Amino acid sequence: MSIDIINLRKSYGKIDILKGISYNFKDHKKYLIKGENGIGKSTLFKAILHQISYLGEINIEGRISYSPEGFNFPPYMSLYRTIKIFSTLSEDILDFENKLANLLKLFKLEEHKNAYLGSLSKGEKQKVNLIQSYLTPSEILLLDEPLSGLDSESKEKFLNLIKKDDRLVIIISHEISNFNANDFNILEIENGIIKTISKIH
Amino acid sequence: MELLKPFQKYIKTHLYYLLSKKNVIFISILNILCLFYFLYISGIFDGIGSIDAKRDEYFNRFNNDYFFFLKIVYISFIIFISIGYFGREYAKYKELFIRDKKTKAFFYITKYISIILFNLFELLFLIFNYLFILALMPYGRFFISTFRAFSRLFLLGIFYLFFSSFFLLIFNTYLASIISMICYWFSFIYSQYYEKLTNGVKVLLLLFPFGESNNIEFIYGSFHVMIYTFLLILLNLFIIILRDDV
Repeated sequence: MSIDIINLRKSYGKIDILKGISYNFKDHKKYLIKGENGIGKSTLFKAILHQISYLGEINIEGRISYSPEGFNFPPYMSLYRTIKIFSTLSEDILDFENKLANLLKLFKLEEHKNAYLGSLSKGEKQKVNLIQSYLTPSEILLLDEPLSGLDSESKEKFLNLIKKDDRLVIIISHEISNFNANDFNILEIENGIIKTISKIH
Repeated sequence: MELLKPFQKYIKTHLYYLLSKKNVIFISILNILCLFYFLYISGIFDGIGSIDAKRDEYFNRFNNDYFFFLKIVYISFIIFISIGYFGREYAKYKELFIRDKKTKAFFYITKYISIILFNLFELLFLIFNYLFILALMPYGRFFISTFRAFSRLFLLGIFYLFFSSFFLLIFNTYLASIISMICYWFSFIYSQYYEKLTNGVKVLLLLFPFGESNNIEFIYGSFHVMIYTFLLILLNLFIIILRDDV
């Protein structure tokens, strides 16, 4: 499973956001893409997800699950129903109840299982976001600012979860101090191109 | 049944977004108000004895007022619902569905099916309302042509739903729905004077269908509206698939 990007270019009006990105994201590897806000990190994800037009080539092998930044599910839906519906959209999940129970326990959300999303805090909503994408059957996991709004304990738990995950994981974040450089290949988008900062050998 | 499963899941999700708390409250209030209005125009509050002598007159007046009101409120309601349903703010969840053109088409086809189903339920509710009032009226009679009128109303609703969605796609602003409202009102007013109209206006009425009289008869026939609606749905889908910002 992989994502192969060849000479990806994207402009908004006269502004060139991505100026020819080429990179091969390999199976089972973990990548962290850093860069300032507005530098094109989310644009890269949107191109991978075919949400925008672009020039160049993106070849994807494998199913993708995605956690958008600050995504809001309907506030009148319960936490359980939201996760159940959205993570099983493409296919059913084997042993879903157990997997969900474990994740809810890990993120201390068991008590909120039947709560409406509108009653949850920003951090709790972000946890729902992450659980949903984590549970969705896929070989590739794309996470846009996954740690935003999380407390330090939840950040640590989530990063441990990702560390053990066997999928190709790509995370974008403007702030990388929470991530361990030994667990991720760190890339940076600067001036519309991607460059490698550090690599796991 | 396994093949239908993804369809069911997608439709269920669309309906979750469509039936938001705000929409449910709005729809409920509107339906209750309509029911009261229909009860009022049915004449049952006037006392059975007083109406008995003029039962035909009352029944015809009720039928006239009922369908006249429905033609305005039902279509306006559908255009209003389409603003929210096809607006960008309500489409953010597509990020979790769409991965390529195929999934994009699947997402929007199921979205269309969901709104058609929703309109069908609303229409069934209106038919139930109508039958309920007829049951209360000692002089109420049900004609099979009334069912045809309801089905034509449904077709007209679906047409304006996608007509409105088309303008939303083109102009990308909620205000675009006003265009479909104006077109509907145009046909509403002018179709009453069809015989006196110039050919140019008649051509415009070909573009903006309208149901005349209690039977909601289309000037150019139901087949014309069906074909036109189908083409409109295809055009909407075509724009959606081609455009990357939708």
